[in-house]
Amino acid sequence: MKIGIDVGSTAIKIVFSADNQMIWKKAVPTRPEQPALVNELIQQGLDDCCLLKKDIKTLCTTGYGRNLINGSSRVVDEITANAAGIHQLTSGRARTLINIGGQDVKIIKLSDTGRILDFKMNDKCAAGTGRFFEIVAKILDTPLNEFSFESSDEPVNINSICAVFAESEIVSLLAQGIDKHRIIKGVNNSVARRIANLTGHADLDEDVYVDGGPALNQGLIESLENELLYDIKKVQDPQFTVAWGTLFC
Amino acid sequence: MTPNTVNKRLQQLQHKTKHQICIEFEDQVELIRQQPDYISEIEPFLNVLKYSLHPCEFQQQINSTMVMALCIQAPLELFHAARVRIFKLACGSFAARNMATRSLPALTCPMIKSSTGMLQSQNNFDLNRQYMVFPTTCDWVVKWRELTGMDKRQTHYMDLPHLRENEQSSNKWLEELYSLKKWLEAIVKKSITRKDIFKAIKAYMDAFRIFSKLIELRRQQRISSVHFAVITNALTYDNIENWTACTGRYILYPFHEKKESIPIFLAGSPIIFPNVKLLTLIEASSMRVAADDICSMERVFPGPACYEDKSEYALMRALSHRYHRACICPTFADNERRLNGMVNVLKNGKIKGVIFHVLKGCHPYDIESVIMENKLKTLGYRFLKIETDYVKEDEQNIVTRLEAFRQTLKQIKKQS
Repeated sequence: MKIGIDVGSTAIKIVFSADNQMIWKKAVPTRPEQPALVNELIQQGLDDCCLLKKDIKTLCTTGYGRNLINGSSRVVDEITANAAGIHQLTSGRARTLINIGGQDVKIIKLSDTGRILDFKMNDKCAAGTGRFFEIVAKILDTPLNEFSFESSDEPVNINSICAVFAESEIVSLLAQGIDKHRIIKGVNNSVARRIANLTGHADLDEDVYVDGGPALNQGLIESLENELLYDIKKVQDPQFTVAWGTLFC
Repeated sequence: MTPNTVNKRLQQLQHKTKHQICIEFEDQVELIRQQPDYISEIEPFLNVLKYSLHPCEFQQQINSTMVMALCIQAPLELFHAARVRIFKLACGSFAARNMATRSLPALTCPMIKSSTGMLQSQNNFDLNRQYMVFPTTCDWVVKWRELTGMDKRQTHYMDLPHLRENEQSSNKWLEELYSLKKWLEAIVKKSITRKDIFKAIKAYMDAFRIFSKLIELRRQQRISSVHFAVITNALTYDNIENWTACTGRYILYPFHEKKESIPIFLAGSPIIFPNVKLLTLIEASSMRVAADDICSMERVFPGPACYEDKSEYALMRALSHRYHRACICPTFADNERRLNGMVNVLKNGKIKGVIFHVLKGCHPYDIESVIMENKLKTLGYRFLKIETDYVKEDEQNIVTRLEAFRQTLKQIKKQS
């Protein structure tokens, strides 16, 4: 049995694999004492799968906290892990991957063999990232899983490109009595625009996939499709791609 | 607030900033000393660099006139010929920026902000009594005097022609060199003779010869890029003969080839000590800067001045040509030479990847990065742009990109 762990900036994702099948997975918010938290998760996974520590053949780590975890048999950067993960999960169909992480966005171009041809990553800025959605969710008092919904309401324009200014803009919109669903749509569009800017509106090789926690938000996927003018695909558990990829690097 | 309170507060801020600058410098020096590749031959350069953060102390120890220059476009040989000591106004201290935030726009180039703050942190330092040369390269340099409110009486501008591949521009730049010569003569109240210029050119040629060996050592991956940056950064704060002697001693050390690291080419905005963050992170990511075209590092010398005869005109023409045609500053409109030079080094050094460093707010290099990225990728090279400033908080973000970049270079190596 193999374990892949993505110690991200906002969430820790862990996957167990046996015979190249994901047999267990879990994502929890990142908090201090990450090594202890990881150990707890591993134990929880072992208990759930009725396995013992001696059954662990490989333990691979990635993410911002990758170097904090003891006992790793392989430590890889998250771009490499992400590329490997999406290549494996899509049977090599992914040529462009948009990863929306907790505090960064990455655009990765892949070859048909899963090789990284090029990548881009945003600088230190929360705009367009998972953290931005978290801030918005808090202001709107709406859990993130309610950001995907069917609605014919017109989105509002969120013009601020800075997460901090966007926060005040949203507060101001709420004060004007604007419906929160229109604001959520506006936020999705705003994030999609930021991501499209990072791609430079360049031609993307298809298939184009999106992953990371925010990829669970179908509203964002639709906004991205409108902005990029590509069909955007996602894998079943998009927040676990990076952790899964550590096992294939 | 009364003028007294304002003055007192300013003095406190100066004292605090200067103290932080010293700590920052000492911390970086200590880090270098703790590295396994530390050798005592690097100490003279670290000692010289200490003065780069304290122009008052620099002035006290040189025993001649100090002339500051915002950019290395002004020929170092002419300052040497005039027997003045150049002080390159380029600061890499994060702490120094605090002083300058009061007088500069928020998105100012970090190097300009840091240099301004470093000067403002000096106690009893009257900027208006300093001699200063401004080659008109980037907009920050051009507008710096006005931004700081410096009196223009002791300043000299060198009007740099940004189109250079024509005779008219070459002649214009030569005129600028003659104008600088005249200005320096007025400062020292003495003529700069043909012999003075010849001796200066010779001194810098001797230095360049030794420097070429240092470059070769780095190509062979025997010395670290942090050491290389320390040595090259020290050039514009040291007496050239002393710098040559110290570099000569440094290269005699029996360095061993360092294994398990992937060579890369570093381009872009200057790396100024003590901010060697990017170099340290590159090396921590198992890559090694084998070559660069950074104006504070490998391009600190534009190369040897080649004169046709020893007449004053020929010597001045040679200097003018070298500092104009060979310069790779991104402010030039016709910069094909830069790309050609880079590709040449990449081919000869079997280097497959280019890391392009952009200091946030350094617009010319930001613009140039797009041009270079397109051209280099078309030629099959891997390209990574790192936009950063003097803060340390983005190190993890940079490391992630560097490690992934190394992976892409490793894949190329495997394929070949």
